Amino acid sequence: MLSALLNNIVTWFSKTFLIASFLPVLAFTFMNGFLAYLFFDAWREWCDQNLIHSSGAGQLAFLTSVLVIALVLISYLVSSISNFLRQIMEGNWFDWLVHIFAPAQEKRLANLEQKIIDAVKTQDELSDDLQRLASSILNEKSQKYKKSELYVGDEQLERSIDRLQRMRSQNQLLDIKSLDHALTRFSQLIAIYNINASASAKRPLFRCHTQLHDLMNFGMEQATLEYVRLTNILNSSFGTYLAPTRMGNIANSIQAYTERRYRCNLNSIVSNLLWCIQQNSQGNTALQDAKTQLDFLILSSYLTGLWTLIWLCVLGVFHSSVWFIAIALGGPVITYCWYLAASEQYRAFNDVLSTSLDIYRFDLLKALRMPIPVDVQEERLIWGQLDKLADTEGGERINFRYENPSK
Amino acid sequence: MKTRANRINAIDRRRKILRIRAGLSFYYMQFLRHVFVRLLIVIYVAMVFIYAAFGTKSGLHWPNASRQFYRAARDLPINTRISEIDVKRPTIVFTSQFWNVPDFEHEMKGLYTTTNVKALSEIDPATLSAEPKIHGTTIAIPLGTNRLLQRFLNAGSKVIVCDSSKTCTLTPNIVEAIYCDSSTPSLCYVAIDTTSDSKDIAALKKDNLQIIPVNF
Repeated sequence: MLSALLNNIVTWFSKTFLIASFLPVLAFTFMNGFLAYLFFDAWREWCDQNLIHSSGAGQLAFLTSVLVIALVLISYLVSSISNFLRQIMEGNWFDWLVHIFAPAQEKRLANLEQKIIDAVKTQDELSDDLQRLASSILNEKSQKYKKSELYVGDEQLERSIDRLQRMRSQNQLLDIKSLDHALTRFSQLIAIYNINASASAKRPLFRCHTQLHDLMNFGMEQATLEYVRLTNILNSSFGTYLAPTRMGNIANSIQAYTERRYRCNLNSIVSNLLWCIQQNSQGNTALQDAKTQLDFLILSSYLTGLWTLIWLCVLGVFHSSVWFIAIALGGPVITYCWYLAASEQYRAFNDVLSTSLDIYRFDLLKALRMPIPVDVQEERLIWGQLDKLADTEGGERINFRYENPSK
Repeated sequence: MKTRANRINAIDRRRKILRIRAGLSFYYMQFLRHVFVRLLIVIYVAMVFIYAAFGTKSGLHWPNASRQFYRAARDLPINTRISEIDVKRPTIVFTSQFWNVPDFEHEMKGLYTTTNVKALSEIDPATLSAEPKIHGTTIAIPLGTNRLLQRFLNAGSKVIVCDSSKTCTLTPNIVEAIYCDSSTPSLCYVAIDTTSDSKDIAALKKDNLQIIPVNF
C-alpha cells in the first residue's frame, strides 16, 4: 500500500521536491516514530495493533494515506522555507552574532593563508638552495688545488638525505631545515673532498649531489603544486567578505569568483542566467541536481538538529540518562556531519554555477540584446555597466545600444 | 609570480591592519578566534553530563541497572509456580523500554519462587527455579488434566483431600507446590504437607485421591 502510494507521489511531484523535501521529512518522521516506539508503551501498543499486526487492510490503507498526506503537507511547508533555512546556515544572522562568530572563520582563513605563504617561502628558499648547490659545484670545479680522494662517506649527510627521501615517499612536504642542513653539510664536504672521489664510500659525493639536486627539484615542484592546491581551496572556501559560518564563506566565494573574473555582480544577474541555463536541458539538469542535493543535505542537517532537540527535551523530562547522553552527544555530531556534507555540496554547486556562468554568459548577453564583447576587458566593462543600469548616481544614467538579433 | 607576490603583500597588509584595529580589544579578538567556539562545545558537553548525572531522577546508570522487574500481585509463598495472575507488569510509562522488562513467557512463566515474595515486591527472574524445592513430608496427588485447578491451585492454597469413598481429611491441607510435567496436555501433581494432622495421614495414604480446593 505504502509503496503504491509512494509511486503515485513520485509521478505527482517533481524529483527535486521528493529528494530535497519529502525524503528528509519521511526519514525524520520515521526516526521519531521509531524512538517513540522504543520508549512509550502506549505508542508501541497502538503501532502494534494498527500498523504492524493490523488485521483490516482498509484501516491500514486509511492510516497510511493520512500519514502520507501529512508528510506531503509538511514537506511543502519545509520546501517553502528552504531558502530561509539556507540563509541561516550561510550566516545571515544579527550583526552582534556575526561579530562573535566571524573571528573563528578568520582564524581558518589566516591558517590557510599562512600555509600559502609557507609554500611560497619554501619555493623561494629552494630556488636559493638550488643556486647555492650549483655555485658550490662550480666553485669546486674552478679550484686548482688537488683535493682529497679519500672520501669514505658521511653518516650525517646520508641520514639527512634518507630522511628527506622518506618524506618524499610518504608524500609529506619536504622539510626545508633538513634540506638546508644537508646542503650545508654537502658544501662542507666538497670543500675538502673531490666530488668524483669514488674510493670506498658506499654513497659517493657525486651521488649525494644527484640525490640532493633531485630532492630540491621535487621540493620546488611540490611547493608549487601545494601553492596551487591551497590557492584553489582558498578561492573556493572564502569570498571577499567574511561570513560567520563555513557555508556562508563558501557561498560568498562564487560572488568573489565572478567579480574577480568578469567584474560581474552575480546576484543581479543570477535569475536571468538561470533562465538561459534552462534553455539547455543538460546544463539545467546538472544545476538542478546539484541544488537538489544541496537542499537535501541542508534539510537533513536541520531535521537531525530538530530531532536531537525534541529527544533531548523528552529524555530530559523523563528519566533515562544513558539515552539522554547518547542523543545529546550523538545528535549534534550527526547534525554537524550533515552540515559539513552540505558545505562541501555547496562548493560543488558553486562549481556547477560558475561553469554555467562561463558557458552561458554570452547567451545571457544575447538574450538581453547586449553586444557581445570582443575581449575580456570589454566584457568586464559591459558587466560593470549592466550592474549600474539602475544607478542614478550623479544624475546620469548608463546608456546601452541594443543589438538587433536579425542582423 | 607577480600575482603571488601581490597576494602575499595583500595578506601581510591585511594582518597589519587587523593588528592595529585590534588595539585594546586584542585579547578579546584572540579569545573569539581561538577559544570561543571550543569553549561553547566544552560547556555544552559539561552541561549534558551534569544534567544527566544530577538533573534526571535516575542519575547516571547503564541499561542493566534500569531493568524493570515484574511485581508480585499478591503474597507469593515459596514454591509458587508463576503464572500471569500472580504478577503485574511494570507500569512506569517511560522507562518500561521493552528490552528492560523480562520476557515473561520465557523467563518467568512456570518457574518457582525460591523465597517468600511479598505483594508488590519485584521478582527477579534470576531468583526463580525450574523445580520446586520441597522440604518435610509430602505426598504428590495427581490433578489430572483439570485445567481450572491447574490454573488456580498454587503453593499456599488450602485443599481437602477425599478418597473414592468420599472420606475426606478433617483439616484443610496446605499445598506445598504444584508440579506439571512437560507433556501436552500437561499432567500436574499437587504436593501436600502430610504433617498437619495425624488423623488424616491414614486417609491420605489411600488411592484415587481427589482434591477439593478450600481457598486459593
